[in-house]
Amino acid sequence: MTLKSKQRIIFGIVVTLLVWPLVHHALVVRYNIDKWSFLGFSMYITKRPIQVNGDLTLYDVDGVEVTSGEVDQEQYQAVERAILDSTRQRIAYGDLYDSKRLARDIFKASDTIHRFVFEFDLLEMNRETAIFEGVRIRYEAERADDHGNVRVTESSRELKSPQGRHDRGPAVQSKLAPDGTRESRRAA
Amino acid sequence: MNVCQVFLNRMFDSERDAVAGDTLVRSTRLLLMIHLAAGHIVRFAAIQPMRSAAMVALCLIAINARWQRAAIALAIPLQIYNVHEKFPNVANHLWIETLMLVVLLMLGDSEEDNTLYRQFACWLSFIVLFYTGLQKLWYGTYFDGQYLATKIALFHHFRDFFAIVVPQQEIERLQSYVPIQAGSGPFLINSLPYLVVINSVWITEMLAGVLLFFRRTRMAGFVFGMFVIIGIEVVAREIFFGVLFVAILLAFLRADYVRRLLLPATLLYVYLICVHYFTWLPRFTFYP
Repeated sequence: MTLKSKQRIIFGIVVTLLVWPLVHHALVVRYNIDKWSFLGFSMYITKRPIQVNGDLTLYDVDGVEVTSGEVDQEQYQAVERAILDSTRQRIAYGDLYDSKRLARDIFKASDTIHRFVFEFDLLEMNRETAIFEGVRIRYEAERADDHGNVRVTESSRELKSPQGRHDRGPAVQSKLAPDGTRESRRAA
Repeated sequence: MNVCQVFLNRMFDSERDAVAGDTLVRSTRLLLMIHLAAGHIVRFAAIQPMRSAAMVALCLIAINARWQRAAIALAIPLQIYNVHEKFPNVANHLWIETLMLVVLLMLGDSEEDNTLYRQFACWLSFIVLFYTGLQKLWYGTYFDGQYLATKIALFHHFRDFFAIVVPQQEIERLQSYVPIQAGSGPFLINSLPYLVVINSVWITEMLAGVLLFFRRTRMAGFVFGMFVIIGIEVVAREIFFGVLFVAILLAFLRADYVRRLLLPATLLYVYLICVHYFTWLPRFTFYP
């Protein structure tokens, strides 16, 4: 490789690095992507949103609740990994997060599960008050057919108390739709 | 002189600043391999010993200057796997390591290539320092110190340092908000010295970047940059990032100071590996 080619490559890398933080900032503002991820140089700026108090309820094809002990252990571990993975993805991708991914991953992990409800709190610090505010998110999914299609409903409610369990007022706008819930049918 | 050369010369002039018989690329390759091997030992030796062993073997190969590029070429897939495993939550220093590997693989040992590496490293130093400061200004969470207040609440090494400027009752109040739930806070600290320290972080970072940009103030920028790193090491204990960034920053000096860094850095990494695996050594919190 000639010196000129190397110079061009280094030049390209440096210019990309110079421009990328500006693009990253725009993506944070527009799509709420994680400030720490995607080489944004904005690590150590704000605390990442925190996902806590997760409650997972599983149902079989007859609508009967399935306990973790009734699911094959390997499959259940895969379900737990899917939950953990979705937590990371949701925070990193912000509004660009594909909400059906969790449903697809869980249904792929276990044949026993036909429907599930996952509720959790998502906390974020309010920059003005420096107090953590949160929403309780209810994520409900079921198999739509045998071809891997899923039906997902997601709604959220504001949290108020330090325990993060008490609701304040009516349901706020869902992240998925203005009316609070939305059913979606799309191929997995 | 073409646009690329003019642009790259902005941070390190190939005519005026070039070092005769420069060996910085060679030293940086070896340091980077030692850095990666140490990181792999700390992160993976207990859970994926073969992965650590592979990186250590590549590091040993890199001791021979003739085999360094081959070692780096083989280290790149391991590093890409590392990035893939963590994506999208990839720490920035992992991206920088990957970028360094690619650049150091591409560059040879000639004087021109050493100069080109210095130009890259100097630009990288400027970008990292300037943008980390600018982002803190953009997001505004350092004006009142909210973000670091959460760190004080959660981590003892942050408390150890900030106890100098934050009253004990304030630290206890912050700790009472843990575990963090909806309503936890406010993560604000009523202490002028704290606010001065916190705001000096982003100001120093940006100032270091700006000073590095101009030839006449470059040495002052270098000193400010070193201050930033020392601050990060004392407070956040990002030791591995610290060593790597010091090596990058040393490209501003007109001699191969990375070669002098090799021994102390290796000893430091050996110490940290021992701290990590042998419980009889005094505990020391650090981040690989």
